[in-house]
Amino acid sequence: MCRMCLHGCGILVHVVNGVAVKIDPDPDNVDNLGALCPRGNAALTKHYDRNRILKPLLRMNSEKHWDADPKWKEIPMEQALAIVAERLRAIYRKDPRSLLCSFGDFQRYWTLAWPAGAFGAPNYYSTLGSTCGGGYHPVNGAVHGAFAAIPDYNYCNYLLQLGSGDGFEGHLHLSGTARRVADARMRGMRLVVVEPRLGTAAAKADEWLPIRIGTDCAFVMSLMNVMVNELGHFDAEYLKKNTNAPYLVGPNGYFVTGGNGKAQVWDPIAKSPRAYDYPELSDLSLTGDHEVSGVKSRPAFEIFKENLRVYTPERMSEVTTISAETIRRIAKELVEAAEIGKTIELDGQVYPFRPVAIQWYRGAQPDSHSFMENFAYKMINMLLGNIDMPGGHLGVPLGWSPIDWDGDCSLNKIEAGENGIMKPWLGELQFPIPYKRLSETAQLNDRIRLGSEPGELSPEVVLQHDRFGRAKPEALFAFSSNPLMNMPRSAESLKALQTMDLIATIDTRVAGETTVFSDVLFPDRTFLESWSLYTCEAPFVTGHTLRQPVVKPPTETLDGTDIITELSERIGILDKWNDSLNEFLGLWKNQKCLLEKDKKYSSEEIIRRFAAAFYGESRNIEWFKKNGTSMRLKTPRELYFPYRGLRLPFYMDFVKKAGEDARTNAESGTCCLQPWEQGDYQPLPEFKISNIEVNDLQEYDLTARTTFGTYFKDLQDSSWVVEVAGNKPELSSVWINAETASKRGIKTGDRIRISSKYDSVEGIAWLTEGLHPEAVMISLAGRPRFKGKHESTSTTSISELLAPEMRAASGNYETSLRVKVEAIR
Amino acid sequence: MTRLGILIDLKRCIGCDACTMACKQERGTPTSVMLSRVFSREFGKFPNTKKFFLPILCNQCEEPPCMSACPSHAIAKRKDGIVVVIEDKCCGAQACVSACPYGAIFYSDGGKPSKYSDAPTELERYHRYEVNGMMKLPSAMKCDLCSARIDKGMEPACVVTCPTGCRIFGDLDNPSSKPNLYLHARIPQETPFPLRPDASTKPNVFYLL
Repeated sequence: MCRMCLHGCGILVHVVNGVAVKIDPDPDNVDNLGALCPRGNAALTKHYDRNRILKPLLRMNSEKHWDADPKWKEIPMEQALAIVAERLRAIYRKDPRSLLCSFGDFQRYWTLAWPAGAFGAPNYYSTLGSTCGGGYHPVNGAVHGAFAAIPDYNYCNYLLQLGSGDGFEGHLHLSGTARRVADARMRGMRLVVVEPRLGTAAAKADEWLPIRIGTDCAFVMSLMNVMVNELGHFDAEYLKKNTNAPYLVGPNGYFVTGGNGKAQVWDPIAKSPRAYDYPELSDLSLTGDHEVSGVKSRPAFEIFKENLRVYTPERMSEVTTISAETIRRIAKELVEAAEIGKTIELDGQVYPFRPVAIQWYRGAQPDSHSFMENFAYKMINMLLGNIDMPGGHLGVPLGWSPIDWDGDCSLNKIEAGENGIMKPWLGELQFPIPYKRLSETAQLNDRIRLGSEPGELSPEVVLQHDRFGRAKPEALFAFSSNPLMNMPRSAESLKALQTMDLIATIDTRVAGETTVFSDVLFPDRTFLESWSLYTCEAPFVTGHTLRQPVVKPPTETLDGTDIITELSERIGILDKWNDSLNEFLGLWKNQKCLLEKDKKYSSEEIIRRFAAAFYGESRNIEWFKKNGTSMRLKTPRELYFPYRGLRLPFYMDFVKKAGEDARTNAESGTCCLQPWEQGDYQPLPEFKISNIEVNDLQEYDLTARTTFGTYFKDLQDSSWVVEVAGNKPELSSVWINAETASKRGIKTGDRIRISSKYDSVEGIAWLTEGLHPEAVMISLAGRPRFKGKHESTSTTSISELLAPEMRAASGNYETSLRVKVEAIR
Repeated sequence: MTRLGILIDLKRCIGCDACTMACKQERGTPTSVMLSRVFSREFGKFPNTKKFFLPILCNQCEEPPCMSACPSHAIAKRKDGIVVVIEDKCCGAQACVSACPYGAIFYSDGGKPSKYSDAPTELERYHRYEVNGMMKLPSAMKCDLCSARIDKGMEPACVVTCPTGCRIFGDLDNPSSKPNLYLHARIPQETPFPLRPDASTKPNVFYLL
């Protein structure tokens, strides 16, 4: 299994005399469809890496700053384990919460259970979550019972991509998705790409609409306004039957309930309120003002419809720089492409056929109003009646094996909630989080009622721990994670790390910013030397792919899972660790697979038990060793319309409730460093200007975002990526619109300085006609800043330019930022 | 007659460079030798800008100008149409490099395995001493459609790995080969075109728009 991103495509590794010399895609894996992306093709350079750690390293220089030589000393594994276990044991006995953890190995995701589950340290010193899907995952959880979402490339005829890169540069399972999108385009799927930059998706699109950074939500709200209030064309039947859009909402913003406690709808024939499940309901009103037992109420849809009126195409064209005429045309094209009313029969079952989808991901994520954006984009799909319908917008579950998940966890998690509405899994992440007056965690996630854990808050909490009534955090334990890279304002983050008595990391190489500051560095085994049985957000398929050792590991290395097991034994928490694994991997499903309390299990044995617990004896580990993968295409019944009569939340009353709880608690306690914007806890979406730093617009006159093309930071120092991406200015430089650059006297190849009000970084300019004139795009691939053994590599990074200014609804902080750009002479 | 070649559907290609990387892996070429590459180019003024991707590799010409240019007869055409370098005979004149209208031939002494260090990794050692060792660098290097794989009944590395399936490999003379079947089934029907027809090389790499 490949591990050049979090997903895990099937691969075949050709080994000659003990050396892995070639990776080909597994032709039989229906996940990646016998394809492999450039990252996967460069993977060998990460295994055979000059910065690979072959033995545990002990830092002999206690001074920690960028220019300090760590003075590494190689030590035996036993000594490394003893040093770290002794410190951790002391912390564990005193107060486990004073250990900060930064665990980020998705392909060995069971290790994520260690910090809170085994050690009792629920801290999260990383922005892995908040730069990822703080707004995205909760909305997918609420609407699909899933984690991610993807257009149904099997049938989709019209795809509007909002900066997602899906099937072109990133997002879910690039290799397989690229094949599926290419096939869909070949059969005539129209592709419209809304993105500030002429990236790969825009290059291949039938139409590219360059938009002002941070205004996609305004564009979509305007599309919905045209559909609802101008054209009156949307899937009203779908909304009536399959969502809570007709539920009556009272003046307090909550559903009006009848005498039986059930949410009410309006029956336009009987001109009377009815319980939502009234059996003889011939029709339901989506609009109008209705009185229920003296309470004035309106269907949720009516409120939504009225809210939309401010988003006129004329006004929104000023916000987005996309013309009103184009907004009206796209709205019309979308509803026409939806073929509302049409059905399709698949495997003997008739489904609504909705071959249109709006897709997004990256563009809406590290935004302060991420939740609002994700909500709006989900809503426009709902208006087209395409949620989990053939041709439409499909939920993609994470597919891990959560504690309480029965059956196939690659299927949408559908359970009944209140009032006939599907239970909102606001995440498979974390919801609801009980409020505590004194926050238990360094990231204060009990203040962020939905979304991801806002690790960007951790450095300030560490530095001002007294204010939070917390003991001083004493150590950081990082596993396959680089918080110093992913935190905003890395100077603050570094300052927080400098207060730690111990920094221990598990990694395969000394190349990340955080590993450079470690006191003890454990040498992990690579994806060609270790075990996993894994799936992650795999669209259209269900199953697992095996990672197994194909080359001999260096003798002094240890699989990260085994390092954690060894430490657990020495700390005295082996029983808790085994319990965590039993729960997290669902080993309880088969009594024979349960790990006993005080016994040590190798990573191979854990995987063996996981396979047996999940698949029974039919597909045990031996079967996987032979076949590599159990991936199979989902059947239509598994893929489409899985709600079993439950309605989807069009109106998210539970989000409003979570916000009110959070506000009440915030007012009553000293819970935050800065007063957070709480306005995003809304039951319906709205466009809010997320720009970011609106002060000093004259001085900071451009907006910067990052783009990593097809490559991640992790691959930046791969010699092949440097060679291939380094030759391509779009992958290795800072994009500036040609005219914008000329006005500043900047030419392609010039060294430039990009400054926000916090700091400045340098980069190399690439002038392009393929970028919005107000945008600056900073590519994260190629071009190492440093080189050589035990040194960090990096391109122009914007972390320095960012502030952890976030909105409490999603935990996301803002990564679009106002900047000025000048040539360095 | 067998006439092995590749049909490249540019409508599918997303310029991701998986082919470039697969070729680096398969052939273990020295730094800056890329026997398979993808060029990208922008056209037009904002906002009416277009961007195109063009994968380039050896065209396995029927009349290879590299072959006729080589003073030491180090370039030959196999029976299946693949144009190969016979490294033993390469005299280093590099006439082939300038003769090729596609920029698809490189000359290399192997160079350093990577720009970072003199200490090669196990993989670099394998490429340098096993793969390139057999090629007896310094020598001209070019794409040979992964003839080693073809001889084992496999397809070229770039073809196998391509995420969008834009490269279709097979015997262009065989009406039921993959490229011909693909052409037949494709909607809309298009006539494949070669690059640089003016160069009279009769290439065996064709493109579809």
